[in-house]
Amino acid sequence: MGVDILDIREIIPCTRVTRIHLAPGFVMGLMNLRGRILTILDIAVLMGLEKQGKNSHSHIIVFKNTNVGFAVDQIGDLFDTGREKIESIPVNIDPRIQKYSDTIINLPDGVIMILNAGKIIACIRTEARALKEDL
Amino acid sequence: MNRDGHDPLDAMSSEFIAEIKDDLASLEPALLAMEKKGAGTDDDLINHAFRSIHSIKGGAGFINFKELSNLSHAMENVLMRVREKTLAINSDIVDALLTGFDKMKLMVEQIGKGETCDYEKEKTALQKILNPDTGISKPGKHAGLTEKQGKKPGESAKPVNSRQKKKSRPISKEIWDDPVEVVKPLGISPVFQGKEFMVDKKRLDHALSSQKFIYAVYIRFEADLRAKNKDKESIVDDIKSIGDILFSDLEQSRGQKERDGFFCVISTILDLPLLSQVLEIAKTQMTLVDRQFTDYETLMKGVASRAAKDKPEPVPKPVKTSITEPDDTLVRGTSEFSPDSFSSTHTLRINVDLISRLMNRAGELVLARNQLRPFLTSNAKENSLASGIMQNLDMVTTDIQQAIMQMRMQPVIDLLGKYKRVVRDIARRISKKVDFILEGADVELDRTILEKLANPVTHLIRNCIDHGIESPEERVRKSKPETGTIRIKASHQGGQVHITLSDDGAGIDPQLILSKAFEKGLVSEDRLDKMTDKQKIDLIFLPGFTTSEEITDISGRGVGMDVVKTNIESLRGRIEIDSVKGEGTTVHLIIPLTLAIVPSLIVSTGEFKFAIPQVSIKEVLYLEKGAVRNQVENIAGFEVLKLRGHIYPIVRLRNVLGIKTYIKRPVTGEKEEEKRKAIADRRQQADADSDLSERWQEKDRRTHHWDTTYVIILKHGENLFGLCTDELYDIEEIVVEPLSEYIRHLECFAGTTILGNGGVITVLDIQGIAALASLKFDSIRSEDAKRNLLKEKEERLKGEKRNLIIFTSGRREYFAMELKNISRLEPVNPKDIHYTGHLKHIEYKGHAVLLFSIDEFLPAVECDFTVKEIFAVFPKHLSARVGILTSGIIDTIETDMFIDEDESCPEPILGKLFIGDMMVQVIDHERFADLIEQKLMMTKGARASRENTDC
Repeated sequence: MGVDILDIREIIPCTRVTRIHLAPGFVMGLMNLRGRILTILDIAVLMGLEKQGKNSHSHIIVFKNTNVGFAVDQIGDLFDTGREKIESIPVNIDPRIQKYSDTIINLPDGVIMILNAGKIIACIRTEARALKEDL
Repeated sequence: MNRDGHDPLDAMSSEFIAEIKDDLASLEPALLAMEKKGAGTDDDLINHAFRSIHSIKGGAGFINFKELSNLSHAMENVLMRVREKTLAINSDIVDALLTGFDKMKLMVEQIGKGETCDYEKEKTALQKILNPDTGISKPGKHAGLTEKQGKKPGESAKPVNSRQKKKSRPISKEIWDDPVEVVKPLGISPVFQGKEFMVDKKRLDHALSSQKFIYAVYIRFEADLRAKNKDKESIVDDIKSIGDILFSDLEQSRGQKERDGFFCVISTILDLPLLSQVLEIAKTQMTLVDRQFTDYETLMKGVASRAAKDKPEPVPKPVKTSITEPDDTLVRGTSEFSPDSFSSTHTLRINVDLISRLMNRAGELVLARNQLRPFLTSNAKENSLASGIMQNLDMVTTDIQQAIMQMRMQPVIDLLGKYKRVVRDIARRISKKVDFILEGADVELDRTILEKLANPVTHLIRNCIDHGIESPEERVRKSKPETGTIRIKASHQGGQVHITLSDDGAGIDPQLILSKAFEKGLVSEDRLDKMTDKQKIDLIFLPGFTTSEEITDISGRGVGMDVVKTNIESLRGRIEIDSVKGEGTTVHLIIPLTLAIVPSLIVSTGEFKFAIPQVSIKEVLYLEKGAVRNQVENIAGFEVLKLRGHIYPIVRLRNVLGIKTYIKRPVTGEKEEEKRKAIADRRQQADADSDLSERWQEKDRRTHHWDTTYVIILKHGENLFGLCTDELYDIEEIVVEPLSEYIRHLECFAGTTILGNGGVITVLDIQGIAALASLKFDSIRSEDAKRNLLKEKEERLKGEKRNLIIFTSGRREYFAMELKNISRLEPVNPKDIHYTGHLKHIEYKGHAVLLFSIDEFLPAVECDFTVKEIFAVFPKHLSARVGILTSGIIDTIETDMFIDEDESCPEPILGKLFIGDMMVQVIDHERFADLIEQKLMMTKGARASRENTDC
């Protein structure tokens, strides 16, 4: 998967995430980033992806203008791509994933899904609100 | 009218608007105090109000806000008359002033919205006050117009000189047509005796509105100029460098031989000593001019009553900028209304955002200090400097933190003070009589909290007046004072602020609330008769309890109370209601001092740390191996703690939050998940339902000791419960940050914070924890109340502690009297008893004192005089000195034992007590005393011994 680099404020190593008990599964915990408290979300849980054995989040992607970070297993590569390579997401993808992404990049060695940070955050927000109203 | 050329977004304007708002704020309490005092209002108060309105006028003029300027001018006129004592203050006047005030407030709020305000109604009201008295102002005419300067209203819209658009607008062109004003120097300096100067009105007003001082200065050619190698031009330049020359007779004085100097009137922000220094002119040659006096003169020219008077008394001091020095005319205040309380002394206007930022930074500083602490402490051994640095840092940080907190603190009067007005207005509107008493006005609260309190408190007060206080007629009928009282008291208690709002109104009828709630389907039928009155009253907090029809139905409260409760709880505060039907209602608001920094105890369970706010901790216990077994009981799988005769429910944090714990097998060193849910449980075989996929997640597995635990007794309101945790750490001052929105629905956490070591932990919410652990305090409370009632009854039966003196009379017959009813004991020698007939006497201080024995009053064995030593007991509260003979004092005891009342007891015996192997008959003093009195009467009647009764 990929994320537009312009959405990202920084990428930090995943250390000392405080677990929040009773929190919804997609909330991994809280983390101190230079005096700011970030809420770390587990993107795999969000998208309903299978956990591959042990949780091994290595990095956290912190998005701009939010106090939210996404825990990811690995940071792959960084590359420039032309606009022409960006395409809409295939319609047969799980709607749970489509909620968070609307484009893919077609590369010679594979297809990369582009996550839309704004969409993800908006989705979680409504989800959290729904949880609150349940109570 | 339009505000031509008025640019609302101008930076300068906003400064002025802020100032006008301040002036408005200080005007209202002054007006209200005036109303209260009526004709007895002191000059300080009037002057204060006058000054406020004058500054408003000035400010309005400066930003060219004509409506405001005109209205304030009209109000000023009325106040002028009041000050002049040609107008007596009454409610109508204050009403007119207040409506004017309200309109002004509205105007200020609407600045920049491009709307114009119609203020004719208010102005007419103000003029009406002036009219009957003076008869010179005609309707439609500006109240401030004097006959000489009168202009037709149409002219008022005429565009103002655009040259001075920004800088020196005339206050209100249509009123001040004459551009020249006369200023008179103040003071007694002979130099200025009888002098008057004509000053350009616009420039004077400009100087006034920018809060400058106006001085008259006399500059001597010889002493001030030539001797100091200056010429006239250079002194003029000097003056211009520090201010503005409004008037100078330099030109006229030229060539006049008899003049040794020239006068000038200057405006500057410098105070007198500074000015004297800068210009190198003696202080005696300069003096302030009275600006207020200028206004006064001009305004009052047409008023006939003015003629006789020479000067307004007292001569008001010019308004000084608050930064330069406190206005000492304001310092004299009265207990009820102290102008000093709102006159700002040595203050600086600071943007709230800036303070908030500073506050955040201070929080981070505390954090950084905490992070540095372990590092420096560990270094302290090697380097002696480290501890010194740490100490210093500690002190400075704490100081900064406190100072900034203080900065954000505002006295509650800032909030509660305005309710004087609210109460007055509402009461007047619905024709009820209400007194408003405010106590503890100087208690300070964090600004944010204070702001958030405004809505709920307004609501409560409105309810008080609307539903609480009865109409005057009804109050009279209920033989209450006609005027109801609403009392607001603010006080500090244990790091929290308590605000108590009480009224002496109708109170809340719990039954009515209950039936209403039942009607609405908010209460189930089976709960109906189980509820206590308090619970019934608390029903008004239920959302949905409030609908319009209830406002009239219920003579208590209950309108939007759920909103009030939510508001208060969002401040981490609590609200409680006590009400006695027919006597009134009291609402307690308990609010934390500040939201920002909370001293908290750090605890841990498993590997997770949590913070518990110190305010909710009652005590902390460490239960050791044996103690756990002794003090913790398991009732149907739930634990309770026995402590000093009380029983507290225990909640295990790990169970509540679902934290897994592990035990280490002593032999194999293997760790496995702990299955026991309670200390008292036996260990069970591991259940199969454990979530295997999560097991590996916990890396830090360690031996867990069920045998020792910390129990933190937490208080939530009146409710206490114990929370078990594994470890305790320090108490730290933490900066609580709100939960991010993704986890905000978790009620067990109040917020998050960053610890000294950089770790993030959550702050526990006591109420949330209690709710999560399903502690149902509410339902227990009614039971508790019942039990307490029973206990009380029992205690009453038991009676208070009694000190009894036990004595014998005949053989093996024991009596007791309360020590407090006995004046003294005296050993008596049987030989000293003198007999007259069957009456016994002894000599006491030269008098004969009657002696009786118990058997003379009640069926008892005859007193035994054969023992070695007999005592006389002298009871108190008798009309004459009388002794009761006993054949021995056994003991004095203190007992709270219940005295068994017994039908078989003779008249003066209260009951029987068993002490050891004795049965003691306790004498009821009152009835016994009656018997003695009867006896005395009889002896008197028999004239047996007249002298004996004397004593």
